[in-house]
Amino acid sequence: MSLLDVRDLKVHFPVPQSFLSKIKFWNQDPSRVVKAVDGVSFSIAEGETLGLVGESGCGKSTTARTILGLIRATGGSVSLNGEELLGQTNADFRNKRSKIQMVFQNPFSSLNPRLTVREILEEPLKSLLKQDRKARLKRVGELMEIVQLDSRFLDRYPHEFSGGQRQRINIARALAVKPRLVVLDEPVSALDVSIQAQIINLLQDLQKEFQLSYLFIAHDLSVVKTLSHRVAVMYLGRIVEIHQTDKLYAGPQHPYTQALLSAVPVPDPHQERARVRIPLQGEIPSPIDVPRGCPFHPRCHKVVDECRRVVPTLLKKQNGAEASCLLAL
Amino acid sequence: MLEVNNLTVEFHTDNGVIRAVDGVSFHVRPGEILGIVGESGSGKSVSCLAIMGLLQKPAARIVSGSIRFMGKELTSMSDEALRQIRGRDLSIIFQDPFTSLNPYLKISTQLLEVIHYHSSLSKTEAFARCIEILDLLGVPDAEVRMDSYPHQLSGGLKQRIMIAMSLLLEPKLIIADEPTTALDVTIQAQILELLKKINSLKHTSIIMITHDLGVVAGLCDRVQVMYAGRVVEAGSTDEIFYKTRHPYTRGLLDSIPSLEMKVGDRLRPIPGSPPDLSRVGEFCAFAERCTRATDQCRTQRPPISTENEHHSYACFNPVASRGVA
Repeated sequence: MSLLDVRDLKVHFPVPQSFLSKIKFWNQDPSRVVKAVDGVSFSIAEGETLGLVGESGCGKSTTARTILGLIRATGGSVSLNGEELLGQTNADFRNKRSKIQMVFQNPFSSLNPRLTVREILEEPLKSLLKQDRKARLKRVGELMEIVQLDSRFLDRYPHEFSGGQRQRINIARALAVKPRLVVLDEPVSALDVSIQAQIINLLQDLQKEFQLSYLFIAHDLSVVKTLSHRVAVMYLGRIVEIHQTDKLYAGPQHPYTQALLSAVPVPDPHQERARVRIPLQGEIPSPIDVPRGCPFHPRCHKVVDECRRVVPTLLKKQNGAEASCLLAL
Repeated sequence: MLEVNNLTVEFHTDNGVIRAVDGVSFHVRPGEILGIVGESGSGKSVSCLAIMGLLQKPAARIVSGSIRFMGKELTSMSDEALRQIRGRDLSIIFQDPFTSLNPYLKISTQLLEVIHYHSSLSKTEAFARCIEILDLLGVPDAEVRMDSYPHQLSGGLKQRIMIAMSLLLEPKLIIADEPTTALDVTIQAQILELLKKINSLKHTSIIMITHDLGVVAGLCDRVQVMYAGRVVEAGSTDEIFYKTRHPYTRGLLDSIPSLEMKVGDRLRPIPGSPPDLSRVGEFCAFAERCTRATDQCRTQRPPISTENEHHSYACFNPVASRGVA
């Protein structure tokens, strides 16, 4: 059974109207909205990692934040263990929040500089679990051990730590309340290469030890590959392909996935020189004016006439992948 | 073309003197692409800022060494003389296209300024020149873009404008300081293709500063790896990737995830974290993180050893050269 179930999630933001447009005869179409997330569905099983990839602005972070209740959804459903999370009061949501936690991208700005590590780690224990002092003390000690930091550092402030150590503190904070699902929003992209690997290995160990599920958001496709069991590729607020990691990388069905994979630089000179890249025309269109038909057709290298008229849906293809492309079999 | 010899740059900070670049030597030949690889604090950016004469004075100071560019010594040159070279023969592409353009000025103003400063082209000629370069870089509707402000452009377009700016006067050498780090992979691929095109079309030399070994593999003729302000290994791209000798380079190559890995495969990270530059002394800066370190490494600074004419490294206990080809 799946732990997290996201069905037809939609997040639309109204486009702020300019002063002039409020004057009657200037009125633009009032229905102009940014469709940041537009009908996204996926599920994550116990102990599984789902990788969510795509270019900036594709809606991957918005999806994650909506699951955590940090952004209000326009429609759809998000359920954890069969319990609906959307449309609840804040107080109700708070009780369930301890089951979902997040690790943010920037280890430098996501820790309060005025709190010591001890205070940072105690915060969720107080506010979500209402633990007493003694229980908190014990848990904080455990957490430091879990993320392999020395307990002597507990009374230091975030600025005294390196980027990698800060990300460990971030992870410890997320794990403090024993969540079932951890949302990782680009957790290693701000770190140096040699430190990235340490954090990735730590995340793998923690998953095994605590049977955690991860929603792993990243733009680096090689990092995603080492950590995810399945990968979903997003484009303009929709999932265009979702499949088991090995198969997705070996035989991408959607032309966008193909282009994305061909753009990843490989640290091997011979391979790199021999590689054929699929050029992607132009850049992501604005999510206010999503192209008609297949949203990807203006940039697609395989586009045919039909793509300009028909909106493809996410369908099961021959190799087992789900892809939203008219041409994929 | 460019010869840097024994360059040392120091920063004076509240916590004492920090040696950001420590006795670095390298050269760039005409038409060549040199990659400089290293993590934050390795001195890769600082050494290039020193070449450009853009170090923050008085905090930073070139303590010793020489930088010769097309036969002229840059370190002893007056600011005015340096300004004549910078932008014309020698130009730089900065990392962050979002903050490197002036938000108050139109693209045309910013591009034309470069031409007017260095050449006597008329306004129409200068404008035509800008359009020509923008077209070359694949900027759609170049004339419309000239009339835009930076905030109206996407990140990829802004970076193309930055590259256009550096190309306007056909420089002999371009320093590209992590030009694709802030961009998406698909846009990164486009920008790297562009740099390759410029290199082969105009025979421009390029110094590519990056932390991404994948970028280096596809683009560069030669690579130098820096750690704690020093060059630890340098050589042709193939030698560095396939016949790695320095344990740090080996560690970097082992710690990056690749597309060939399987789910659940373990990475082999380098233990510890990059060194505190104020504590680096006359010993191997990598010793505390190195599995091969001996007492010699902790007390003496390893000299540069030459493997062959295309490959050198600074290590007492190099890893065995694996002949993978």
